[in-house]
Amino acid sequence: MKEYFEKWAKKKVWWDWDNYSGIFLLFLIIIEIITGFSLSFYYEASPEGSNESLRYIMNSLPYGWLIRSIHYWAGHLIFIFLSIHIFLKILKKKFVKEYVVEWSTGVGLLILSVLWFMSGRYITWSQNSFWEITTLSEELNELPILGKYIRLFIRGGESVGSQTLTRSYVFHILFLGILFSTIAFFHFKSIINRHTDTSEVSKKSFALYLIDALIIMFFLFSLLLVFSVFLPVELPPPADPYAVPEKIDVFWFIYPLYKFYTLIPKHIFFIHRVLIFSIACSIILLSFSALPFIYDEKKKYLANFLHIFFLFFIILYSGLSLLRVFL
Amino acid sequence: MEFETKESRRSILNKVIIGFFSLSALIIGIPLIRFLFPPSQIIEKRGRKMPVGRLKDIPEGSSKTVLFYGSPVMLINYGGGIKAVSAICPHMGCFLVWDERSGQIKCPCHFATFNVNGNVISGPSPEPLKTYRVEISDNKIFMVKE
Repeated sequence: MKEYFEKWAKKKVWWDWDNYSGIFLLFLIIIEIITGFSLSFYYEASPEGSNESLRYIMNSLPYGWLIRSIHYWAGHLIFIFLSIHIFLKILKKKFVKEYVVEWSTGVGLLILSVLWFMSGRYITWSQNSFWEITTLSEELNELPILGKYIRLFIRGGESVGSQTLTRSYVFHILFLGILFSTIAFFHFKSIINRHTDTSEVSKKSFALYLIDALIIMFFLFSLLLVFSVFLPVELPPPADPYAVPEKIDVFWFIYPLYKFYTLIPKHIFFIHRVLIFSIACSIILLSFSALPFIYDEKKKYLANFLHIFFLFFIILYSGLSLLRVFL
Repeated sequence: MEFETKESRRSILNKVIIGFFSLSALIIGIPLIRFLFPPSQIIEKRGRKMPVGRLKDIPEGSSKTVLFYGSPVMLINYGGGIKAVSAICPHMGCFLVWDERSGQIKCPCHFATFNVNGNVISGPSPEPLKTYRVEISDNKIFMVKE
């Protein structure tokens, strides 16, 4: 055992955390699918029944509170490990051209994860989620040409109601699930192909790799249980369309984006901020996903700039969003 | 002194992996099975309680007719509480109406009258009206199937 730990210390295990964090993400997503599938047996997607069914799950069913808490905490842990995963992948320059499939599918999975989490928040049909979706769709309505169609698509009608909830539910359990699994399949397929081709992993003992992953995964599983048992998720207050809340608590991972959005004046030269914000976000996301094509080792200055810029961006963004959790 | 072990590294590793997955499966599996297959009395409880309206929709002295498991039920806010009685007259099956002025339920067909608790005051009705249990939480009215 001592020998094993010495080996473990020597090989700087943190350096491999880009791969480990990926394994944990897979593990957490499997947990999310299992618990989510179980919760869907009892959940009722209607404005009247949503809160009531959650109350039934948590108060009446055996271990209902635990299953829902695990589902909730695993969702949050996904974004912590996602931040670590992206940071280390950038640090280790795993965005160069040979990693193009992993990188672009990874960016897709990141966007889908955020949407997955947000649709999960909406289906609790709490006061916060109701007003979040109302405000979001109202703001998107200001987009030229497409705005009103996006608003109608999100709401499923003129007002936020049962149609909106049904859409969020279908998105959460069906559409995003299928899309995520499809992209994840190509993500993992590319990883497996690389490891069998270049035997990157076989340089070190695969068994040691597996033991490391198992130990940390066991630790992660315990952490998930500790969070779920000692900080069980509470039942949110049900949506009240007649009572406008003083403030909306947005999802912590997108909080920096939201804060930045609120700082922009509503109109800049008669252009609504939602258009400016959408263009800025699209540029950042596009350049982020196109990094394997932009990055060129031969152009040293540009390469260094891009590397440092995205590293700094990830640290700043994750730091700001994590600050939101603790403050 | 050296220990001689018959087991290879691979078999130990296999045992560790099997142990990890068995333990994890046990920790999450037992609650999951209990959650998916709860005792029958818990399942039966569900679906008996149904939201039928908001408290503010029925001001003091007024009534509202709702459908509860396919039967029309009259919710009456009278005397400081919500009462739920069948909206069908037991005599000939006519729809009953709430008379706000007299505080009585009346049948427009053969003039049977009932009080707010469903008891017959006058008229041809052979039996009192069926009553239902009502629960109020968060300003919402729930009806409970007995």
